[in-house]
Amino acid sequence: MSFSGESLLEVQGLGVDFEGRAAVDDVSFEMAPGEVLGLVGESGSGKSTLARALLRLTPVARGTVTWRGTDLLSCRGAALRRRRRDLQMVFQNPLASLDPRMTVGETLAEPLEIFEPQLGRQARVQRVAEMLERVGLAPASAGRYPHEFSGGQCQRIGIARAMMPQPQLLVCDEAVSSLDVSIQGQIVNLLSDLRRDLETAILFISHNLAVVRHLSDRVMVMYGGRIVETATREELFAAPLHPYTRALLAAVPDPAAALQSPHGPGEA
Amino acid sequence: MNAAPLALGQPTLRIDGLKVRYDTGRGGIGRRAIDGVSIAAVREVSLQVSAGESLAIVGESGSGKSQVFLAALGLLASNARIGGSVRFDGEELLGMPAAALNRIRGSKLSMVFQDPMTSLTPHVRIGVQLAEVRVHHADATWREAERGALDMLERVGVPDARRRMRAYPHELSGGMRQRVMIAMSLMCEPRLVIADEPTSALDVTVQAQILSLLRDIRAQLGTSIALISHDLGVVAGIAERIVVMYAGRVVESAPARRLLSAPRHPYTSLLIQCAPSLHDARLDRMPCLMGQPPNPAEPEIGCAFAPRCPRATDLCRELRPPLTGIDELSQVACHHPLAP
Repeated sequence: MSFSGESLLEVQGLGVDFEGRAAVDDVSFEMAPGEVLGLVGESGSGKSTLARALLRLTPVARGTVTWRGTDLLSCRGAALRRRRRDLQMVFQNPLASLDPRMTVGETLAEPLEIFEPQLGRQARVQRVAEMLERVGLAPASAGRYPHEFSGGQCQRIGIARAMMPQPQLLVCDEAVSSLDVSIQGQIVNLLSDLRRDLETAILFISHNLAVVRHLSDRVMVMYGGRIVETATREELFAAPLHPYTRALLAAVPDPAAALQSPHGPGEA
Repeated sequence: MNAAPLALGQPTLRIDGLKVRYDTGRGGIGRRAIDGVSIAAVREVSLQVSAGESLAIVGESGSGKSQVFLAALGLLASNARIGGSVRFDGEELLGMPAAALNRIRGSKLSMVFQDPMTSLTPHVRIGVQLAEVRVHHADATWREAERGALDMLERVGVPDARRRMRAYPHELSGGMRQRVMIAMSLMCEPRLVIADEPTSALDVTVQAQILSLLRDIRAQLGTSIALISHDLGVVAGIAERIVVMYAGRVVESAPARRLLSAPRHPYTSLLIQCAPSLHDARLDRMPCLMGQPPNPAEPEIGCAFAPRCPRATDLCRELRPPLTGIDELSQVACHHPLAP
């Protein structure tokens, strides 16, 4: 694969080692601008390590990462700080990833103070209010603290914080796994809206294929540090090729199937 | 208390009119002073787990589902104010002295928590942690207890159990640790195992294995199981009866098959639609419940679900619907229940 001029991100033969063992092994893929790529696999498969390597949060042992035609891995100093603006992350635990002593407004304004120091106070307040509205929170939320919000609302704040510097790629690492199933859809749909309105590309990491299915254009399946299958959403769910993909699909709990299953639900 | 009793089997655990409330003192965070508030974690709950039954308690975060069982086991924080009654095999647990409670907890009545890492002692070998349950509760010798521990590890499907007896918790995967926790909960052949979100911290593939293990245990040992979860998809394959909680109250309870195929409460119906499924045709949107559950610090007026309910009327916003019997096995608290 050569750089086509359309890629946002191009990863070639990426490897990350922990104590001599490869946690991520020979991973290659591309992402187009505005694309949503699902990354599924179980704990220990290397999906979070891969994400952290892309964001330069963990050292890379082998391979190349090209961001809009420039080498991301050799970036240093000011160049790396500029890049950090383009790649932002949403974490699994929404409450733990927010500073409990900062108001929501302060948390959202901080990326602007760092990346757009020329902005005046008034303009910052305005941008924070716009973002809060975009993620479905009242503008008055800016004066409140993270503990005053539910888990789903905290994740909206986490997404708003990540979106403040107007990134081109949002990496969501199990961003809905710690939420109630009834709320997960709210967050998935919010990400879907952000992608549609702002054309932000999203790398959406999850262990649950039923969730990935609603958001992703393409899905990569990771196992033992390697990508074992990559397919468009339609292909993957209609005709999974790798046995591990099939095992993942079979493990998704399904209330409708349970009604027909010999295991129950039984009659009381 | 406000509904006709259900025609259920012999109760193992019987909870009547349970209330849990927290009074917080005045304090401050950041620049803001916060007034003391009274939080109703459980407004009023009555339910029973019958002998040999597998019951699921389903609700969102903050619905009070865990609080009900933590209260039953005397595990709530010291500022909790508890009312009502919890009887286990006819014995009242609320207000029971700690020494007496400790004879029941961990032996006849045991609990499996969500996070298997934080519920195991990190510096004690697995085999010792398992054996001490039987030494402590059943007066077994260490040699007998360790034999029992090995037997139990094999029973819950831990491969290479003899070697794992000598392992420390950090040397095991999340799924293995949860198997160890389940083995521990079974060491004294309990009457009832309470499993609080036992698979929420685990991968979907491991989740399926743990649920199948719980199903086998009930079939083989006749242990009652109370499974607490926010995910109806998870409980569907294991529960015989389901109790749905919302904002500190039971809003529907029924045999699982009936509840899943013909929910009467609009909340139950929406929860079923929200369970992520591989068969949902609406690919571009993921089904979800809009809005937030009510603030437990605010007074309760009318039906707590009314602000999120598509069927709500003025009546719902003014008058709380009582939990009413539909038939001898089912109850619903709704002014406008769905047709059966």
